[in-house]
Amino acid sequence: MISRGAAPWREGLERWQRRRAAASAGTFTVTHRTLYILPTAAGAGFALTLFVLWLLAINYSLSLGHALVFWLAAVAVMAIPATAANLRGVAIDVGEPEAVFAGERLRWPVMLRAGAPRFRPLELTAPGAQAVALLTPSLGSVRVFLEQNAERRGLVRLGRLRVATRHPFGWFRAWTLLWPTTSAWIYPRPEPQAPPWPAAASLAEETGALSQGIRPGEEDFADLRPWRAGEPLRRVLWKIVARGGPRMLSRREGPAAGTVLLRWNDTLGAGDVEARLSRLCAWVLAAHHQHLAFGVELPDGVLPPDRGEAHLHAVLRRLALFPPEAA
Amino acid sequence: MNAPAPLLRGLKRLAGPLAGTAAAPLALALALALGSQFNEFPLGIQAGIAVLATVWFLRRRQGAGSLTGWRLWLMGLACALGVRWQYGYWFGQESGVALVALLVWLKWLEARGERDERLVAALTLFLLTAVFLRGQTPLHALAAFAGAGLVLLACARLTLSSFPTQPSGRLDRDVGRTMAWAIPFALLLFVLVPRVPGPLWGLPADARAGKTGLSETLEAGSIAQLARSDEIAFVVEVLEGELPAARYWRGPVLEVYDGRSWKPSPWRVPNPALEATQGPAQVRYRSLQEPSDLPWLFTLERTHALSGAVDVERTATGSWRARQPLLQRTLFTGEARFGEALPENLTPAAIRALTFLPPQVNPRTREAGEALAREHPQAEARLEALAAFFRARQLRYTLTPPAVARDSADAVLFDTRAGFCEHFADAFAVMARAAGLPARVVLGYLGGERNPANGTWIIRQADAHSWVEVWLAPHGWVRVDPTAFAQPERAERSLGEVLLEREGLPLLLRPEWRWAWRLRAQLEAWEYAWNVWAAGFDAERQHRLWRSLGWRPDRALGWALAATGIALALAALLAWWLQRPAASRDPLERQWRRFCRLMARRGLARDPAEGPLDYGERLMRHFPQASGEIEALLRPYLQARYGGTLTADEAAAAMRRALRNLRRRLPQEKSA
Repeated sequence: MISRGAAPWREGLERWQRRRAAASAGTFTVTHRTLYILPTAAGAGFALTLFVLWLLAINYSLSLGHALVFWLAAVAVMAIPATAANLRGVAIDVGEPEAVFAGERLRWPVMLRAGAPRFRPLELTAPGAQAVALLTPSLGSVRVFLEQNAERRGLVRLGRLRVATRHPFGWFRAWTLLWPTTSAWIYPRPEPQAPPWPAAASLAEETGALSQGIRPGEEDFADLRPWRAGEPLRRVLWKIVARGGPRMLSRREGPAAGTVLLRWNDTLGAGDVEARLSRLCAWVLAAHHQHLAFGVELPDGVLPPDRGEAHLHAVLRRLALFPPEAA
Repeated sequence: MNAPAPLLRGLKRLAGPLAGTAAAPLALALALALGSQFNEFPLGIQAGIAVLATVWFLRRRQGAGSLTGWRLWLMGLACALGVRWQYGYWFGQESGVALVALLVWLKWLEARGERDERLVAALTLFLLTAVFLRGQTPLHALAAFAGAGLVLLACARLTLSSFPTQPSGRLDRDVGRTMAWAIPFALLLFVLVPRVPGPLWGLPADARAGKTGLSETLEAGSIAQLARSDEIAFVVEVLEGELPAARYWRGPVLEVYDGRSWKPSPWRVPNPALEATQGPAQVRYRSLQEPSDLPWLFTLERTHALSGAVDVERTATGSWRARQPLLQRTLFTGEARFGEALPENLTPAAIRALTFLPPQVNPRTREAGEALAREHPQAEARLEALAAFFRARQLRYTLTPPAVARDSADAVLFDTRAGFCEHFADAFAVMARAAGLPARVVLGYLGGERNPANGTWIIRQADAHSWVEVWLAPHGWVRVDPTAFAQPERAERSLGEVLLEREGLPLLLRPEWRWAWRLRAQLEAWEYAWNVWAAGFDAERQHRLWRSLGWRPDRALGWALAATGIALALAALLAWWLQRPAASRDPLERQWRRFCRLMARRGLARDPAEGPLDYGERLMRHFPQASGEIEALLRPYLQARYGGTLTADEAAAAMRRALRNLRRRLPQEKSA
């Protein structure tokens, strides 16, 4: 995604950078091997300014003008290692973000730790995400989040992460590149106005009134509250999420009853593969919300009915990895 | 942040929301840059700067957005027209600086982001360097360097502007440290980077010149004005030999007389006899001459060799002249011999020109001169008689002679019988010409004080003097100082001691102000050192330094370039070294790291994710013969770190012992 329409040299450059970055897996510590530094536009402007001032000092034989220019030039030279030192020895750890549905925001937690106490303002850039982090002598480690739009379902990686710094003067930018190996799940987007699953899906004897009575999308919104991290996903009202709203819960617990087998073949009316997966996802969430035991039948296999968080995630992962071209 | 606390508090209150932002140090830097040259701007420019700065300050303080559109263009146009109106021309050094001083505020009013603010910072650096066009005293240097430091601080704050919180105290310390480390390397660059001799594009017509000093013509009263100025004309350091008791510093020689004033001859036959004055020097001296409007170098009488950064030539009259006016402070070295006449073989035509007097001017003086010529056919005797005539007139030496309209020589010799050196020189030269002796007037300085603080000789504008040179057939030009006939001591004593009337002399030239004089002598000694080593460090000075280091100047360029490169590389290296992670102060951690390094050298580096226990187990599996030592090292570490049963120092001591034993147990390093 970086070398989009790229020239061959650009690909070669990235291969070279990847080779160097691969030297440390897991926690990535910046060393001289993975640290790049180049002047910025501001640095070029400063150099031009110094050149003009130097000419001025020469033309008017200003000895102290020379002294001033030389001092500024020496500061600029000192700024090179000073800029690099902001990044050297910084350990970068990209954690696993919580699974989200397509269309939500994926929050990658990035843990930054400093080797030695130092003032280190860092700028993090990943495809579609930006963040800043400030390490200080009293704050040796900091966690920031890189927020990406979760667009396509599946198992995704962050992509190329660039951690850069321009401190102290902004004349040089030191940066490091890494391709974190941690991955995140993006489940298919649940269909907002999904029709109820066909009656034939209900397997057990106590089908009927209950499971058909409370159809997905008919929750009572009387008492809702925001979802907090750590609470079971089962209680989240996915309908709201699917409309782009926040994760909300209702305090009402649906009674546990029944078993459904949600079939790929029943989603034929939804449209293409993605739309069918969306409908299946909505059904899965509805079934989970109603405490039904649910199973999913896909063209390439059947997930037997079960209950619980773990089962839900297993099913959703399976849906996330569903081959896009399959019919 | 503690000493000038009330001042800082006041500044913070004034700055309001600007405090802590990049704009605050940048505004201070601009204030330093413009404040230290504010007096040099014309009133209109001063008003413009004040108005724009106030507008900028008020808008920024209120958080008003950036100014755009026609109002800005209108203001820019007004600034340009204002500069044109105040200076009377578009392009020049003074008007250029004034224009930048105005436009920098407009740019800042329009500034929208980091890039614009950086442009303002660059313009501020330009204005700070322009401070040195006004003067290069330590005060100017202080203002410019402090301002540049503030600009750098502003750059650092701009870099952090995308961060939500800016702990400015910590940032300022970081930036300050980088700037301090740069100082030694800046000094190296100052000494080593070869100086390019300027000017590159020619000085604009309005480049600054000296304010006071001798002019190139002699008129009644032109030197008496200077006698009241105690500004330094030049400072002389004797390198070899001794200065003579009568120290005549020769400048322009005036050979053309129009009845009122004396001027240098625009057309002069060359004087090949001057070549004969080459020879071993009796005195070698170095002179640092203050800027002036004129190209003349004031040299000790009979200076026959001169070297310095400026391009000089010896005129046919034996004075030294640069190709351009000496608008900068000039350092040169001279060699001189004394006691000899300046040789020249005058042709009859030249003798006629040098004895020319306009008719109908100074009739009485001419008559007296012609009478002397009739009495004494022999030239030397005639000159003797001329001197005797002057002595007999009993002329009075005064700074405030009565005003004379015309026939100045007549007035001085026969009416007022009082005058200053220029009156006497004028009268003597006129009378000598009337007597048939070729004569000319020399402008220069006489005397000078020895500065007890550093042994240099200081020659002030008050020491300005004029005297006469008379040509005697076999010898050449002989110096005659008619002032000595009126006041014999003047030649060897300073003006203050000689002039009894004390008519408006500078306070410090008066004898009873000795203590103040001594204090000033010390200050001037420092100023001389500053002017020679800091403000006056030019290509010539640099070459001399290289020569003293044993580099030949022709090869020194390569050497200096190499040394500059090495200095820069060293700077980067030192900075790298200074910024490496500090050795831990925790004794426990230090021993642990030593242990890890020892093992890493044997190819068993600790994985970053590996805890001490896991690592220890892995090592013991690898070195079963040393497992006891490894355990003896790990146990105190773990106890002190996690158990808390041992203090860190005890544990560190135990670890050190274990490490020593371990070293003995382990096989030699992998590479060996």
